[in-house]
Amino acid sequence: MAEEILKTENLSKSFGATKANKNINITIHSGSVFGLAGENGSGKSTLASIICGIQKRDGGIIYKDGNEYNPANLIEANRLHVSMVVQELGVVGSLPPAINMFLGRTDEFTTGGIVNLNKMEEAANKQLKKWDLGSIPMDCMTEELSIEQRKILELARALSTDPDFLVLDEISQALSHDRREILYRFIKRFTKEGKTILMVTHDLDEMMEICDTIAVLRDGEMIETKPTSEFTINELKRKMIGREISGEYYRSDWKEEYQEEVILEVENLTVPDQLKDISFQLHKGEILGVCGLSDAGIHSLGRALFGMSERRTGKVCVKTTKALLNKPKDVIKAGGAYLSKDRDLDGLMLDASLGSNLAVPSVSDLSGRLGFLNPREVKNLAEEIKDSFEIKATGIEHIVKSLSGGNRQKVNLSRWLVKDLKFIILDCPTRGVDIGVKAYIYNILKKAKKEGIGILLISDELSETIGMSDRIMIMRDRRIAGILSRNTDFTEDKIIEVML
Amino acid sequence: MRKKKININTIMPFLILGGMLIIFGIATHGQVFVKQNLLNLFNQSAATIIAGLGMIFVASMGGTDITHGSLLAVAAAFSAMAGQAFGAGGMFPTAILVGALSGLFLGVLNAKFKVPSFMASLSMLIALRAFVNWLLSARVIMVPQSIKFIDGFSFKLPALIVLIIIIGYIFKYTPFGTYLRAIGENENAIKYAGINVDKIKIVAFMISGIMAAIAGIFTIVRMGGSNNTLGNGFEMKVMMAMFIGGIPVQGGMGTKLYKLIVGAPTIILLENGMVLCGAGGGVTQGVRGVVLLAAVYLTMVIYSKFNGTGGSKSGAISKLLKECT
Repeated sequence: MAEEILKTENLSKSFGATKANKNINITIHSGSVFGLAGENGSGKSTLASIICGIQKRDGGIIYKDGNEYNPANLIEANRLHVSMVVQELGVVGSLPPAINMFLGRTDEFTTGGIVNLNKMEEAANKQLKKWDLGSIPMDCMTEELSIEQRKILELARALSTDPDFLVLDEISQALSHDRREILYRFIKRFTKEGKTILMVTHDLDEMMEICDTIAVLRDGEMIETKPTSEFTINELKRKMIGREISGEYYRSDWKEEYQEEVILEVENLTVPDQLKDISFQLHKGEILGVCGLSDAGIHSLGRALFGMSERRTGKVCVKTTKALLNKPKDVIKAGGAYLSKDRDLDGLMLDASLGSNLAVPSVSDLSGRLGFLNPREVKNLAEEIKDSFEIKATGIEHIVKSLSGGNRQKVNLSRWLVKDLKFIILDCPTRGVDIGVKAYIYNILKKAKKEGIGILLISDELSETIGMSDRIMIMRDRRIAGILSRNTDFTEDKIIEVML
Repeated sequence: MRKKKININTIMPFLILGGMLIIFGIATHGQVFVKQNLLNLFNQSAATIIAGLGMIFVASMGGTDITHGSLLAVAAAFSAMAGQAFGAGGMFPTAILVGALSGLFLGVLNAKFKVPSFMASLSMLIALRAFVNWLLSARVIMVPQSIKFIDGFSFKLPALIVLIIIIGYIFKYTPFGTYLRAIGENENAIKYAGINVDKIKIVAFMISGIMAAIAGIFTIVRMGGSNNTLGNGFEMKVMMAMFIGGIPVQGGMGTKLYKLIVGAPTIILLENGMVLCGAGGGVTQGVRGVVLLAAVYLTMVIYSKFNGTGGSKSGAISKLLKECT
């Protein structure tokens, strides 16, 4: 057995009345990948950030390499060879990538008060190369990088402090399939050198695949810790939620099944540098999955269909009415809706009440003569949505910012589904959502399918598209590379083959 | 019957106004409550409220429209000319046209050409003032005696009430009003809901301009005439009325009409009370500044206390960065 690298004894932390961590005892061995599983709000991120000195613990002791370990902040933790990639993006957009990588340590590259950017870029590239993380453009501002590239940049930054204990908090959810492969290769190499990784992830398949040991947290308490080989994925889910998940998760049938009637017809849709010549049809009651590697253009497709892209050419129309959908307004009018990948930035009003958020898409439908909008009707609608979609909040006055990620996504989705929709474009609808809500969302989608709504499901998770779609449209280099049918072609290998 | 929860955020403007009434009531030995003074307060508040009824549309989106001082003067000058030519009937259409045009221009600048509203309206404020200077130079333009009735209490009060009802209806009971406040919360979210944000912005600026112009009519009729300095600094007074009433500076769902209607007499009373107490102009200005700052700060604190959750995304990042550097 390898030696212990990190150990906690009765670690606890409260935020006001909420106990985020209650008497946590974990022991992590060097050279292993230790996974933390748990639903949103179970205390995973808190535990991770305490270990990295980002938050102060209230009680308990941490030992690292046998010595008591008590970092005052992340810098001190770095000095003790502990580093972290945080869940939220932690880079400064208006600085070049190289500076971001060495933020706080620019002194090493400074002579006479002037930072030598060339030297820094060189060091940054060396860092990326050392761990085989792929390349990142250095001659731009960080905000011009994609979210994935920024994540990799953060990983490189964390590595540049030479850690032997690295915390990765939800890193893979920002990454697409090919960059995840890079990440997994990195993890293997890192641990082979006898170094250790603490991994927080929502993706249970991933967790089962790469972690040696898994610890399950629920409501701030450590429920169970044991080697991955002794867990089954269902047991893991059960432990996380504390009850059986009722019903199945994905679809149980393996048939491509939808109505003949075409709802949405797309012909030669092209957006310069984003999409090339996309043509397809979405049928009534169909779930059409869309997947592809990071730059394949799957997210651009959603935006373009909704009419948010500039310089779009080609045709998007409703088949039956021949109505052209050029602007977001047209899509809404035709009974469509679009949920972008970033629900907080593009979807929700975080500082506003639940009621206001739920009502926004429907206010124009509710208004009568002279545009009259009855506040009572608005309120009733919000109450109705909240109840029928089981959104967990104290009431419709609840501020959305304080809801969990899963509930926020429920808000984002439900307010559109109460409308009389014909089709909906969903971009990563279960991103950053715990499995309880995930299962709930899949059930909603199944129901919507049954009601004849056409669903375009854009997703970074292959298992999700396989589990839910009738057909999968695979994109490569901004074009459609192939369309597979649920009847025969749905295996991960086959999809990846087309992707590459 | 359900008990309605009293929120400090809701009653704050009333508390400030009430507190000020008590303080000045005592300090001036009841002078503020003399009928003539109350009428004075009303007359001054009315123009501020009317202009605010428009400005609130832009403010609720988180935008700024400070054209009011100059726009009021331009509208006043034109409507006085119209009044001389066509009588009272000609004044309102003229003012509305002037206000709408100014608002349209500003709205297009802001929505289509993405010029920040503060800078756009500041330029407009300067340009319109220059226009008035050119138009009137040293002249004084008079309003005919026949339209003095507009300044009478029996016309002004009903007019004010009607305007409040119309604006209140648009602001609170239509989808348009909802979208305005929603834009203040998260403009992106409204765009992704398929709503034409540009159009809403332009209309908001137009309403703002129209109401400033109508306020111009009431101001010039009250003065009896106008020269090129009419309305100097008026935009600041309207803004103070909004913010002292607790309208959040960043706009959004907390933007409520009653806050303006309470805020306007508050700021007027502050000035009026100070004068009655015998304070000099400089002191009055200073106190106004301090009170405004205090009101805005209080609004922020109360707002974050009741709505905030702490530990926001940006908070976490900035904390991390602080520790890194």
